[in-house]
Amino acid sequence: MTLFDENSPRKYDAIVIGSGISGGWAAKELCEGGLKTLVLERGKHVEHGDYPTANIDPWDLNDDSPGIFKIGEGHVRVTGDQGFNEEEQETYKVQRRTGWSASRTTARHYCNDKEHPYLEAPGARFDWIRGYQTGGRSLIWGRQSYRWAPIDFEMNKRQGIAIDWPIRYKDLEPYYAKVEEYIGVSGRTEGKNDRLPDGVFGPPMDYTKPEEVLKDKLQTEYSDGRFMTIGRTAHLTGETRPGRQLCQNRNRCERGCPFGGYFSSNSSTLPAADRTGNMILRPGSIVKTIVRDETTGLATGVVVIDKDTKEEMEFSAKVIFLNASTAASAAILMQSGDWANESDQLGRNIMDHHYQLGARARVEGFEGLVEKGRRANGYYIPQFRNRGGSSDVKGFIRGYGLQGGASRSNWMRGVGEMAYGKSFKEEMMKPGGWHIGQTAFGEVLPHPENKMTISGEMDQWGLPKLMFHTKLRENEIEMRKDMLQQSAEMYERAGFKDVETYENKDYAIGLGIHEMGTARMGHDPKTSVLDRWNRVHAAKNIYVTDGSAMTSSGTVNPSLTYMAMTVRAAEHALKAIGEGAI
Amino acid sequence: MLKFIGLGSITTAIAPAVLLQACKEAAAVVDTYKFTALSAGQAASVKAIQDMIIPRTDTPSASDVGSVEFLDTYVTHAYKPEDKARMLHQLDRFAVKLKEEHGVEVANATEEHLVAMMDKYFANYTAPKEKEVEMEIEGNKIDNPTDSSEDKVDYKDDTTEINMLLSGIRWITLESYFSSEKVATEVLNYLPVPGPYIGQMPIADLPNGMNWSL
Repeated sequence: MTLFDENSPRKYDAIVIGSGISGGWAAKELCEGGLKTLVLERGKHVEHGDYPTANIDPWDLNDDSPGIFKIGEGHVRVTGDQGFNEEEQETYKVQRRTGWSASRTTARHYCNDKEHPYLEAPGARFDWIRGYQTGGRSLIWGRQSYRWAPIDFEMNKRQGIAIDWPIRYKDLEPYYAKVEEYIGVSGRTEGKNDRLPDGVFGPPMDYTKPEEVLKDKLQTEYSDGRFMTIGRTAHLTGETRPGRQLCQNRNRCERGCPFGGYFSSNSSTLPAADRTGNMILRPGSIVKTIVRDETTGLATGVVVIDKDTKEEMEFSAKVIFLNASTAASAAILMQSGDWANESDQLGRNIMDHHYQLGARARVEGFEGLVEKGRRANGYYIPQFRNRGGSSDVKGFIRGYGLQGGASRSNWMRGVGEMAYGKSFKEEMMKPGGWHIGQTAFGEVLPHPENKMTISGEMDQWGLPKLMFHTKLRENEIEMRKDMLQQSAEMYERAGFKDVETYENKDYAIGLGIHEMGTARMGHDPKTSVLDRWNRVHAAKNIYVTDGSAMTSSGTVNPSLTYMAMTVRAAEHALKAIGEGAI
Repeated sequence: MLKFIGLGSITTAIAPAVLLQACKEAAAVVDTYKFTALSAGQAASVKAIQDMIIPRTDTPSASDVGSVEFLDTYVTHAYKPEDKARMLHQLDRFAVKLKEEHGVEVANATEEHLVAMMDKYFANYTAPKEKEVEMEIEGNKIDNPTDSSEDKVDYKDDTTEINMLLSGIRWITLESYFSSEKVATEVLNYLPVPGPYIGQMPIADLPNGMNWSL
């Protein structure tokens, strides 16, 4: 990719702040639209293919991976928390709170908590999981890609929650299609567009047998319209894309995929932007402020602090896309003055998807079947509560989806057994029985007191540390009871054995890594930060198209919607520039 | 598999001279491995226990693929000081009890002796009632000279401690065994780049009926 150097200009047509999943799309669209574009990334540069842990096996040497220790000329591996020494655990203290993120092979794609601290208000907790590198969290995202249902855009208005969305499903529909076609989404067409609209799909991934059993049972056991589909995931299964090959089912995605099997900014949108000759990427660039001209009411550029030299520099542009991620985008606006916050909503209404609870069970039978390949995907049961008619329930509003999968156990089952010796050893070498598990992802309502503020403490760049004041509220807590009960009930009705529920009672907002809502869209500048084109009401050449724009959270994984919003906003910006409006 | 033992995957395409050199280097590393947590006696106890859990058959035993060294490195780097002290204490007590109950040193223990130990302290172990625990702790305080030097760790009675040791070693043994190169690539079915995913493959198509290693 074309990186900034001392001969690079200070003046551009467009500046994109952030190179993650939405910033990458902004870069691609603006560059393909002919704009000279500077892409600013606060973290280190990661060129597609520069994934040193991508092919390492458990026994391979890699000194860069926390948790892998050297013995003589060979190496051993250790897993989980115990593989991290105390210093490494401290370095990734927040990043590892999910229990699966920032592992020994993926930690390089997560931020260093010691270098990038933030604060939590007394009694509050916020799990801010970040990827500070070119591509941001597009390297480590969950890749599940679902369209919002039309009803999701309408519920705030119908229920008098927060404010109404200024857009509807039809506004995003063509952009959903464009994004799906480009990134490649594997999925199955279901014809249930009121619940989960179909998209442009590559061939779906297979179900395992127990998953098929559950799918069939949902049809016969329930009359509320609930159904299962295979996960819609941004992996190439049908046709390749430029610079990208088909998914090889290695399930090592978060290490970075040398095949480009899944979509990331690094493998897809940034190279596309680069191919136009219009993009310059500047890693190590921490944006301090956006500069706005009081007379015109338009932004004129950004002030950047170099991450390493701490030197300040200014870049100018006609249009700015702010894609720094929910909290960081709001922070940049806050640091830039009061002009973006006439509504007093900037930094408020932080949402996520509350999760880490559900059910698991043993499945008897089907011992004659095994999987071949490691499918980095599972099944999906879209929201089935409060979708109208017999699906409506009392106790909470909105609902949740379920993501799960069934597989056969391996030698790890032996850890809990009191056996030893020859027959134990031989048994552990064979596939174990089938197990199935599912996790619920629930909607979090926008609440003004779930907020972030800028504190008086400064980081090493002289920028204020963010302080978070977030907690789960009554509706989510009520919903969690139903999530557990329904998860288990579906497994019972499917005939699975030893059904049990599980819940991480320590779930905190942010842990779903779907944080959103800090600069919501709306019709009215008095109650929202962004307009219907994702522009800051008070600066019509700043487009904010990451999670901060969200007015409610829905239940599906949000990245596809951020990408669709970005493409729509970029088209609008290109038109505005073409017309001389900005 | 630890690289210094895993020569089985070297193919015949490699020139014999290179192979010979590799063998020499590998042997040298085995010889030069320096234990950093375990004493020679404690390492012998680990080896005895691990090879009871995963004995040598027509496939390697746990210690054949470097499990003892794995545990030593693991304890050195990842254990908190008090956990390390506890494991070393437990290994010492294992050796003491083996001697007391069977009259042998670890190095001379037969399979019969070790089966008896594994059955008593692991497979057939049931947690004692509270009163008995107290009594045995009292006894240890008089008999056990290592207690005074590890006064930060609140040790339980020998039976409980040895059970904890055997239960704890179980997973580290399985982990190091099944993530070793030898077992993962030569015993189990190794498929680093699967290509197309098949959700419902007949188990008969799984070579040797062995599970996938990754």
